Amino acid sequence: MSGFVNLKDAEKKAVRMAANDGLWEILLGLMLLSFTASAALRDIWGIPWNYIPLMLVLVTGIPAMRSAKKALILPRIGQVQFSQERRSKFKRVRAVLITLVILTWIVLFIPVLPSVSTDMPEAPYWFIDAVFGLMIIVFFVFLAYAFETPRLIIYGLLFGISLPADVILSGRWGIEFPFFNFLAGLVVVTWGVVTLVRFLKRYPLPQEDSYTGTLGESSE
Amino acid sequence: MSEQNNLDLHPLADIDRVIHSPARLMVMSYLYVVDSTDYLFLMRLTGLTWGNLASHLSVLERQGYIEIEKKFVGKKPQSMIRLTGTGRTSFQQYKSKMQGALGELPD
Repeated sequence: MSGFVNLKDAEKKAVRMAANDGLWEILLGLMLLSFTASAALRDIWGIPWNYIPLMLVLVTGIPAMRSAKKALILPRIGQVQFSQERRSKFKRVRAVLITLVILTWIVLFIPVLPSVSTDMPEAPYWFIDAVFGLMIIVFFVFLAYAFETPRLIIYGLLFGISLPADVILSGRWGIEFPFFNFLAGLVVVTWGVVTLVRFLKRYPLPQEDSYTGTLGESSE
Repeated sequence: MSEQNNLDLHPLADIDRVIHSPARLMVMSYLYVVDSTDYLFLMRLTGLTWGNLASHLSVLERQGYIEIEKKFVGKKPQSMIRLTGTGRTSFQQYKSKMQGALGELPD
């Protein structure tokens, strides 16, 4: 039925409509900005206290996003239950994302290990940034796959590359502020806010009686 | 020329007219690819007005192609619309008839 009614496109449209509200971008952008804050606070608060902003976003981010979804998004576009196949895809992606978050936590503690035990070797200075960069790219690729939103891959690359770029900035020119990371986080948060505002304008709150009433009689 | 002679458009004569209306075809197509949606999501997805959508849903419900499950989420009523087994089968038959009849037409 291609060219007449494309059912695959119809399903993708439903997924995009449910997911394209900018909230994911805002959350992920804030996560990256919290990396910036952690790096900027390294010399002031010391390790591991400088990771407090990042941990705050990691712990409160998902519940905050769910609340925003419930308060802002669902009253505007309503509810959808996807097919079993699509739900299985979401579950697989969720499992990968949770694993990535756990791995991120483990990686966060690697710099602390030598201070806990002197037997532990010190990780190379670029290690954390390289692992984070890679994890972020993988994270975004899976998000793009789950939500049928290829632009998320661009965000992933932007973030993933910004981390080693900042290491080079620091190693070559001695600039400690993670400029590229900050810029990437700012771009994505801004894009998320723009997407959210567009979404809210495109889907205003419907009049209560316009969609909760009983079904009318057909004219056909 | 011979390709055109082999075309069999007879299945179009008994095409399911309940599904064949553009708005209902759109509603059936979306409900075919998701499990269920509420009125609002379907309204946003199809771009139909509430009155128009309600009227088409009414036809589909009378025909037994869709079912509407009413439940409460907290204190709010929620109605989820899904295709019935009959609706799914009828849509599949409609799809194959259309594919069979129109798929072989030259560009």
